[in-house]
Amino acid sequence: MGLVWFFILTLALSFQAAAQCCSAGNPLAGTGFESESTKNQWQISTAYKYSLSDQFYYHDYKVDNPYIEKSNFSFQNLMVSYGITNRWSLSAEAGYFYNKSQNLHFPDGLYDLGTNGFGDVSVNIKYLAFRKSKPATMLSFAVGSKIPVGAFEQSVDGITIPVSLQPSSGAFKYTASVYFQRLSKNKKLGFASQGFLELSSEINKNYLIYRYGPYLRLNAGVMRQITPKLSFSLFGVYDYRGKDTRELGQIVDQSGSIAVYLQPWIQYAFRKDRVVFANVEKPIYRYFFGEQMGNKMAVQIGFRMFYQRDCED
Amino acid sequence: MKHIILLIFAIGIGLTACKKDPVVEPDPSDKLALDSLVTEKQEIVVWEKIYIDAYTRGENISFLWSTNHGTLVGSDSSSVQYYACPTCLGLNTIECTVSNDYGSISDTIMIRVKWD
Repeated sequence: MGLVWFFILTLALSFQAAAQCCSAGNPLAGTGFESESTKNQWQISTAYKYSLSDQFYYHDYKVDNPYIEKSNFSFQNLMVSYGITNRWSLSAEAGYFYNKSQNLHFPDGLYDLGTNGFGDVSVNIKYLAFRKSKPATMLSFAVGSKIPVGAFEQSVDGITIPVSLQPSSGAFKYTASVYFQRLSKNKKLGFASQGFLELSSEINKNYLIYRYGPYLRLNAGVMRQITPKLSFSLFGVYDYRGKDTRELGQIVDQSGSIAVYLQPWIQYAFRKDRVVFANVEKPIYRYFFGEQMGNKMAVQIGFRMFYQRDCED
Repeated sequence: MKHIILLIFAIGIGLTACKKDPVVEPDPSDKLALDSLVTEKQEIVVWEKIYIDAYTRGENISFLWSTNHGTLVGSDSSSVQYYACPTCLGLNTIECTVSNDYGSISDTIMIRVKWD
């Protein structure tokens, strides 16, 4: 119960924290500790994420900006995966931005710039390279891509919304990840670690020629089962975003960042195959290569279920 | 002589009466034209806000403004405000497309955003 209160306290503290700004495309969702995928098993998960930003930073200190009061988004994803064999699984993920907007304060009034719409779709194939049952251990690799099918040229009242507020990133992206997880014999303690790399192709639409910098996320965390249904996990996350480039290969000097977060999760399995989860991100260190907006807080709540299709081989 | 003068006068009247006023065909561009995009200056610093105006001809015109870098603020009008944050340094393009029942036309203007 103490850990539950710690989670609530961390959630409250995160409202004073800062992380990374609104950026084009879907936010990274994730589900914390993963469940082992088996042949013919379907996993369906959905999560709602809210993010609020209201402060600009230069390197690691706060700076003022004259117009942007706050920037926020609310997003929901839907992820479906299917175990083709006991080692190979396919997954697809899509999402919808209920709102992605910025509030601007000009001397002549307040403006609200924003839109909603479908984000990009990602597809992945995962290979379970190593599995051991006692103690439960698994190592998997995944590759995939993000396809920019979402809304990218949304306009409101005759004004096209800035690229960073569009639901789609507009770019085809390639992803690769490696995941390791080990549980204790009684499965009450666990350790997990993940590396995720995303490389973007160049956007070349109308007058926009742009390539997002490489994105790397490394995380490691521990899990503690409090009761048979309730577990808590705490991850440390390292994020690196390289600098973007624009036409003629010009480097966008003010882009790119490094950040380290603490990410507590809570999971409640009200049935063996039904899980609700929630997490927050609290930055403990960040460094922006230029002047950029950083998050004040981000929170996510979701639901995951499993369905095993029994069939004769 | 009197008859000749009367004849010339009658012919003159007849010619004048038959001459139609020249039909003034309207210039097609009067139905929809985007003459120019005008801004106070084409070189600004980060966070500096400027107005961009579109000079148009035609009726029932709707506007669509877009830019590859930076932020535009306005409301379906011939005038918008533009500013750029630090990640938008460089030579940026602002496009205005005007449309009505006769079609649509676009024009662009370039604005350089400098750090200071």
